[in-house]
Amino acid sequence: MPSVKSYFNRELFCGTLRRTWPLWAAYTFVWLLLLPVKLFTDLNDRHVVYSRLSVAYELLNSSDSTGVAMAAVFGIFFAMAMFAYLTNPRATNGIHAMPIRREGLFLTHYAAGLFCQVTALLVSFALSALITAAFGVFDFYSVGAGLLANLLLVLFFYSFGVLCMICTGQVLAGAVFYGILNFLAVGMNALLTTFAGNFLYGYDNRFFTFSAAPLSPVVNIFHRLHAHILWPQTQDGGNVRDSGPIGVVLDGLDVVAVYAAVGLVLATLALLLYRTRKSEMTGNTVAITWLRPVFKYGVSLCSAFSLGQLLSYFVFQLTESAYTVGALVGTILCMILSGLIGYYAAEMLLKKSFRVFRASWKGALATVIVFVLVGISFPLDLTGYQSYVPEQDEIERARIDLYSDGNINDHFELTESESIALLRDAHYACILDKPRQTSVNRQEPQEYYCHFGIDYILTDGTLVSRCYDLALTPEMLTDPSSPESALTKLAECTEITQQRILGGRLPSNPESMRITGGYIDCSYYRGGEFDRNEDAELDAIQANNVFIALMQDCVEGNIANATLFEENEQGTEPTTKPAFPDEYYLNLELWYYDASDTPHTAAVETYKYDATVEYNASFYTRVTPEMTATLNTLRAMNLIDIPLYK
Amino acid sequence: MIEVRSVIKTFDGFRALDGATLTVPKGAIYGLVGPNGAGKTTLLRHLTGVYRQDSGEITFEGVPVWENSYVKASIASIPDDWHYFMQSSVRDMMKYYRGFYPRFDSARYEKLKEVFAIDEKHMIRRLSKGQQKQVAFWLAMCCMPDYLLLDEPVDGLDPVMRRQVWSLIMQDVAENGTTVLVSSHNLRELEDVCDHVGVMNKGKVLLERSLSELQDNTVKMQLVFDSDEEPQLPAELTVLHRSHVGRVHTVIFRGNAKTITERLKMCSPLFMEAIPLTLEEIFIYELGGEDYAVREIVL
Repeated sequence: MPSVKSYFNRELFCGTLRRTWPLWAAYTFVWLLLLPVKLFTDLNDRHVVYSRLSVAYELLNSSDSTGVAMAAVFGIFFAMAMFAYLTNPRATNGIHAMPIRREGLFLTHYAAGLFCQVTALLVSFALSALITAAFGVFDFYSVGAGLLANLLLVLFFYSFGVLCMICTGQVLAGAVFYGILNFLAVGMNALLTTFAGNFLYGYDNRFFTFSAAPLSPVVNIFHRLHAHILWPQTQDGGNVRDSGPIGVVLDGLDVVAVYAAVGLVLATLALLLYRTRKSEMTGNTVAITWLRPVFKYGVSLCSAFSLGQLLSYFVFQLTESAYTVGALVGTILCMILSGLIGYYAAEMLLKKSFRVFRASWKGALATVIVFVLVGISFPLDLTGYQSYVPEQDEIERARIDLYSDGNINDHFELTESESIALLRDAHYACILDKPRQTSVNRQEPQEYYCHFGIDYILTDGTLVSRCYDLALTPEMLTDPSSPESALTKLAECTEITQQRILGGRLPSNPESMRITGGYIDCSYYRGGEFDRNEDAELDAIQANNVFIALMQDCVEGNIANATLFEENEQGTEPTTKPAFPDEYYLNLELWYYDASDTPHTAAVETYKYDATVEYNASFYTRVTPEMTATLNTLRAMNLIDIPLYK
Repeated sequence: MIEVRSVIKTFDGFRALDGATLTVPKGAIYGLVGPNGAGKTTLLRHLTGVYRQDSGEITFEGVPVWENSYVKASIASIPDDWHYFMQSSVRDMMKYYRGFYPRFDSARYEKLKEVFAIDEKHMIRRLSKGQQKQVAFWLAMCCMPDYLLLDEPVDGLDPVMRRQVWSLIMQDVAENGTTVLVSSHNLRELEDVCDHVGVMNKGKVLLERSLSELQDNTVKMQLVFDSDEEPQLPAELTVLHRSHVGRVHTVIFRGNAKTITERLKMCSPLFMEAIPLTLEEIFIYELGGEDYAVREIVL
């Protein structure tokens, strides 16, 4: 019949604190240095005047990267110190023989570790509060939010560390598991993305995404938790920067709160595992019986995808886009070899013996079969991934990245059905061109390259992404089914052309755009030779006139020529029609201020924001002969020496 | 009473306990003997609630010991590898034990200081192995346990201290009715203190009896016959071991000395004498049937 006493033992708690005081002291000392001592030193510096907000920002910053690093590092240290007895058979047997239930042992040790960290934080923040109050810059929110964030971080990382320690019977293995698990999801995501990017034609590995980040706590929290400066807001939602910041706020506190809740779940899971953990498993790399096969095959998988891909790179010198069957076979062989190395290494760790080969051949065979199946599934496109193009009526809108050696190098948004139809045609052309693209030896220099990334946003909200790195030749423009031809047609559609004219990077809300000036750069050529260059800065009125003209060109559909292939400096290219008959090259840059822009990662120095700064963004446009309204406006303002167009 | 019923425990496919069954009567001093690897320590770890059996039942007064802090509070154990904290002194460990055992007797701790003569402020890790064992006894005796489970308890103690420790244990048994289960290879010593003996081998308890029963049940006969030939012994007698030097035959029989003497008279020996067996001999000859016969070693 258990009683309250069975779940907590005061003597064990105090004894644990007495035994682990050096770690407790070290943790407290580091926090004292990072917060109250640093604050006191800064505030005591007569050469710098600190405002309440800057001190508040510094306090919140302690919860930012510093807090995450402290919680992550000391979380596992405290877990190792508290549960080290589970890694020593004599200690395990001795402590488990005492008259206390496993729940009592777990909760007492868990509480002791938490107590050390919480008291250190309370002392550090209390002293910081006193120091800031003494200097008249006390900010309740920053002290409270900073402390809360650090407490939540401690709760999560310490619980995570405890779970790792419960799962292992070796103290160093606990730290290694903790370190690996903190990065495993993003690491495996990157490895799988690289593999699929190499062998799955059209697989989108353009950007590192944070889709796996929530399972990699350190990465995700570093990414999400930030101190953030608040600025006064205008009526249309913009920031009024010349009046100075009005406060600071800690972004991502909700994310940390979720992790802290997860921490409680992990602690509960650790308790449940501890109840069933066998004392005799102490000293084993994995102390939970059912986790042993997970560990073995997990190590094999990670080894195959990391070491295997690295090996294949060195052995076969694979490039980023090695779709060939030979490259795939080579990589799969390397992955099988690395997978087997990982499998047997894990088996040796589990069995604590080098003699594992004969007894575990079945698992090794299963590993080989799995990797062979993975290898076969890619060229056969068993899932239909490589040939899939969403239906026209399924697509709500699309985003594309089109980067070529020509004058199309941007990111575009497509919403009109005509543009989307052309996009689907271009996508089909890329799929049908797979034999040519996969046979290209990418070690050899090709004539032209084009990067074509597609994001279809379907009506049900699903995102379908594909990405192609294409080797192109101008000769194929005559073939209407070629990617060269289909992509050129797509680039010349009205929607993309308009975006090209306006730079493609306008603010999401054009109403918040304030044109503040600009710059024009015109190079003149005569008979193919450079003649002269004229440039001029536009004032706000001139720039606004040019902007209005540009908008008019867009509305009137005065399209610009698009080419995937190299242009000469005059804007002409032998494979395309001449852009400017009189041989000149005209670039336009317009500066604007985006009133809706919100600073995200402003540093303390940002308080000294210079109100005279007139713009925070700009866009560039290559002016072509078809853009008559723009050209005529520039001419009318005597900014260029080009004949007037009708 | 400690009861172990058909306990099975497997480690990585190896059966360390293979249906072990034993009963330790209340107030008994029970000696658990067996060869190395018989499963004695494993059984003791089950009795202290460290290991959990795969099947079977382990109870103290009918109550299972696993995860039962009330039962465990009545048990003090001294394993062969007694655990103490690296930085702790005797006094620190006393406080630690006092925090767990509700009946911990601090007055007895003070009294036993004189018996063990160890500086209580001394770091335990700096003490000799024998002194560490003394500390283990010191603290275990202060827990005032109903059950004392000892694994090779006097290993490392000098003869004087051995006698002192056994005397303390006997005193506890006599005054408090403490039940003692002791696993040891020192059969000579067990013979002096135990009233019950269990013999383990290969994870099983082969036999368990009171010491007097055990000694009554096995007899060593010295027989002298008039010829050098091997005499024909009565078939109904169970012979555990036989050897001879010339015409003098030494035979170990299972059974009562009186009955066996009567039967052997039929063989008309010239001389016949029953010699009591030591526990060591019983142990060796009982295990002879379990492929554990003492073999002659030729160097």
